Amino acid sequence: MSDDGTPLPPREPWWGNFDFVEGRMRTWDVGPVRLRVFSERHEWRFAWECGGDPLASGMAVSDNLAPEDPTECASQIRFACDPGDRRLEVRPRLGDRPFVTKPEVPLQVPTGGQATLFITTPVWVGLCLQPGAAVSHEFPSYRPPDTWFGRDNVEGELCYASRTWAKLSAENFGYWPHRALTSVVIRNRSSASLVLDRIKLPVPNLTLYVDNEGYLRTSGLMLKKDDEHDLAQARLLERGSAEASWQVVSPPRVELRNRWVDAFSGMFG
Amino acid sequence: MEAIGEMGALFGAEQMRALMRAVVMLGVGILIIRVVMLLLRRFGKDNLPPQHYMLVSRVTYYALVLLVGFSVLHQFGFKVSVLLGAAGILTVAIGFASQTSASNLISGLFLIAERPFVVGNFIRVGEVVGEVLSVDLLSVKLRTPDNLYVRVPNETLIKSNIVNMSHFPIRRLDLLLDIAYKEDLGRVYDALVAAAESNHRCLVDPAPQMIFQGFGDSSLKVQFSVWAARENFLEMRNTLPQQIRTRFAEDDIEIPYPRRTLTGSETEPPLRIQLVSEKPAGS
Repeated sequence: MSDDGTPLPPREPWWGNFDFVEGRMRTWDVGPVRLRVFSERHEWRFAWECGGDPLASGMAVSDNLAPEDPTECASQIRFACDPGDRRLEVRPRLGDRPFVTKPEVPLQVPTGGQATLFITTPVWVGLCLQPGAAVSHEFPSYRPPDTWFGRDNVEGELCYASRTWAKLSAENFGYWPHRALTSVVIRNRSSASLVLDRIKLPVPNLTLYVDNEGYLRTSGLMLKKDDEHDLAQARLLERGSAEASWQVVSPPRVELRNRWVDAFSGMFG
Repeated sequence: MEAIGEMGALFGAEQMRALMRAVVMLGVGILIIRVVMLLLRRFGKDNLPPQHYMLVSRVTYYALVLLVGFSVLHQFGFKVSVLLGAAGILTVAIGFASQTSASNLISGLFLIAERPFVVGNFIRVGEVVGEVLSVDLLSVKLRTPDNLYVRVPNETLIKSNIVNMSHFPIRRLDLLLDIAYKEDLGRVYDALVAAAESNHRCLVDPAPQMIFQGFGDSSLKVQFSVWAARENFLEMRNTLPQQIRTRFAEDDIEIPYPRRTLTGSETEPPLRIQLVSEKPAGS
């Protein structure tokens, strides 16, 4: 929304289907990642760097007449193709492992209380050599550090770490084209105050959407803690009326049989 | 047919029939062994742990081979009971003669039951480090990182300390560092943590730790411990030291060389120092 309350036009997406001309190059600058795609007669060549500022918010997709030297890029990959294949799909995806977010300052949810947290996580850039086909290659827009989430160093799960913002309002977020926003509703039905010092987001189970303003969003989560269960119970939320118009950008990596995410061994740290 | 007729004349009809039966039995036996092994591979390989599958398949194979062998011999009039009795006596004789093998065999059974490692794990036994290729009844076969094949007798494994480097999903790397006495340890800690944070293979949780190890001859001794996923451990071990070195250089933190301070005794005259100037060229 603008300052006077009128809705802003949606931001241009950096994903979708792109037509190429043989011998030309196209460049994507999306937050910290710079992707260059070279369309040659018998091959696709992709070169990318994602070591930029993780909070960069710039977004531009541009055609380049004079191909740059791809050897300057940190990472490269090539795919053979038929001379007629000149259409490429760029598809953002959620991470391939859960994210563990540590709020800068732990948040407490009092007994009987409810809070909605908003957490952003970086997306992966998927490259499909045929529109609608499976992703041929992908890489993270920003490589988050690894972390361990478990009761001890023996049992647990390897995740990505994200010490970012667990904010209580979606309005407080700027526009980052490479990050997706997840809302997590937390209900504390236990007799003790619930301290959130870390939260695991099962992003491989979530669907990636784009909202009406062009922001990347994910399925919502609802977590419930009570005295009967030692473990927090989490389930995916159905899209409400406000989210009904969101468009699916990419489906979950791992489909769930039901909407319960897991009998979480610790959704909360 | 003519050749068979000639053989019949040579051996007699009864022996010829026994030979034919033995050949048929051998053929059918080989077929049955193949079918059983095929079924075992199809259903056992995915449902059993690798070393259990290997054990079951070998025991089944040798049992079937013995059975077919005895059946074939039986056709020629060999008494199986006599053979078994002879085999019993032979076993006792062999048992005395091959105590080491028997020990390896029993150790192998213990190893299979205890499962301190499985096929595919990286283990260290004494001086040998390698990936487990197979766990057999007499020995364990390893492949070392430099691609050598090592056979370790099971008895050795039972008697030795085995370090399994693949058992737990995460591992800790302990780096021992020398820090100059003039440095502030708080600043050193900040630099080490910053270096770990710049390496995405270093786990954020469990958090990196700096442990003070003591006052050395020429430096403060500290241990910096960081964790990584098992599969990323080697990469972290190879990249983190360089990142620490770079960070120390940026923050002007000194890693000292060994130093010795020489002082004269109070009862002895002071050390004489003579300055020698270079002679100018041509003088």
